[in-house]
Amino acid sequence: MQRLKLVLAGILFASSTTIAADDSNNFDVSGFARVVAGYLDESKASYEGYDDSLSLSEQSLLGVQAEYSFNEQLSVAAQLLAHSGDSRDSGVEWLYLRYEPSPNWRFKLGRLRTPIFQYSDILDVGFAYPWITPPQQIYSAYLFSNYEGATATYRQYYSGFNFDFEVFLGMFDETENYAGLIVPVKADPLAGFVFKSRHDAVQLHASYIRTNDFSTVVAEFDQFANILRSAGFQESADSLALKGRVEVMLGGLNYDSVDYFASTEWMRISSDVLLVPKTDSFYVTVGANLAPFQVHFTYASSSAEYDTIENEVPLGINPQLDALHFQYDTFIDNLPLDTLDSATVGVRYDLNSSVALKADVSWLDTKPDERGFFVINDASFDREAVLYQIAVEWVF
Amino acid sequence: MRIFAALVMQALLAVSANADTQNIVVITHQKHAGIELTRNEIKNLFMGGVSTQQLEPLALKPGADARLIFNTKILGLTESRVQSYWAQMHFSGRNKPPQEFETVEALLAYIQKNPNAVGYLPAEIELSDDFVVIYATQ
Repeated sequence: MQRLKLVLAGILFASSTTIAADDSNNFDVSGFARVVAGYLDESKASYEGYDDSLSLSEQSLLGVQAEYSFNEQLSVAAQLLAHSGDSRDSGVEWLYLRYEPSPNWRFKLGRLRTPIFQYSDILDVGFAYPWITPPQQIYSAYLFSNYEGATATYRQYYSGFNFDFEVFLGMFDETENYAGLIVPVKADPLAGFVFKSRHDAVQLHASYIRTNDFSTVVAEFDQFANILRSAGFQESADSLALKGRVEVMLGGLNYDSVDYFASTEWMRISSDVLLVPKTDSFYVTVGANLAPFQVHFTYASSSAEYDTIENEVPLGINPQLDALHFQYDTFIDNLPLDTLDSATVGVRYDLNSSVALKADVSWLDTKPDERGFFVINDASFDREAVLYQIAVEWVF
Repeated sequence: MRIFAALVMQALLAVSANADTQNIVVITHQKHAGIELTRNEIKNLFMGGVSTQQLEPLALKPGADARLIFNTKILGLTESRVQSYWAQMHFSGRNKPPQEFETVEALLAYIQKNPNAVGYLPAEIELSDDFVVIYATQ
């Protein structure tokens, strides 16, 4: 894969150096930028990096896309991202070769963004969606943001209906932030499909992504599993395994008219990896177009749970086993859960065809003892907070 | 605040009045005389969908009255949603927006040279025999 990246980068740079002599129509540079300011009215926790001091650095970014077309069928593209947030790496987001032998078929090869949610492949392009932060119950639980591999798309139009069917296959190998832990995550192979259909103002979207070989490494899990195993509790030790199957199913529906718009996405994550709990999430957005303004309201909810695992370690035999029994219970109980209900009201003002201003207010509410996407600094946090955000979105 | 709200309302009324009373025609080269497209087929073509006739859509620049009417009556979208849609298509490497023209004259000149191109313009403009109307809004 490293070699593939180098080859693609080589092609891009070789082609960019020839543009001066070549037809400049074949080379296209465009970009997007956003400056987002946010404030959370809570001192005992932070949410998506926001706390009770005004911050401009959590989501502000600049992206540049360079594209070179060899001919009508073949092109190479790269997207470079400079991100100000701590949780995101700057660098090459996309780097791919695109081949379109006919209007019906499109193939891409390289480093790509996973397209399974409605906005997952343009999450950084805030100009493309109404909110400042897309509903985190879906978009933050986003397990595999990129992959290295190949994708094929077939497109067709039939009697008023537009169809898009995409299959992809690749691998994911990145450092991720799970449950507050920074861990290496690998999914190889990773495969999925996306189906989209549009009929006039309505668009339907269904997708599925699966890996049978998800793996991550968390030292604490391994150490505790080893203790359980050496004490003879194989099943309990196996319950802490960090390898296995992960699948994500998603359905979405959109309505877009001159006066109103509405969208909903529903997602289910299922897995046999302890670190990835069973999750059901959805959001519903309704909005009105009052050109050049848009006002919108979103309700989003997620619920997550771990498989109930029976504690194999018996009580009452000896104090060491009693301690191990309680240690296992505490370990499982302390696994964080991201159950969150939120309501967001927002307004967008399109200054012109490439700049938009936005303001959003989100009321966040999670269950006592659960994490709900917050980073909790003080256990007495009442699990309720309000996030205020304003943003400038720009495409060029 | 009240003045601001009044200004917004006035702008909204002006926009909708404009879009409601005026019409556009969708045209192509007379080489394609006889073809007729439904509103849905034109929407599909101008949103980058696959077209069986391999036609090339052409647009007017944002701000043109005919573009506003086209957005409202054919695409069923506001300019802001159109721009958002193309940002999504472009930065996900899926599609490019139609080529845009500053003036109707430039658009007609392009169609004259490229008979597979399809564009729109205000219904009241008189057309030479080089062009045919394939759809008219009402």
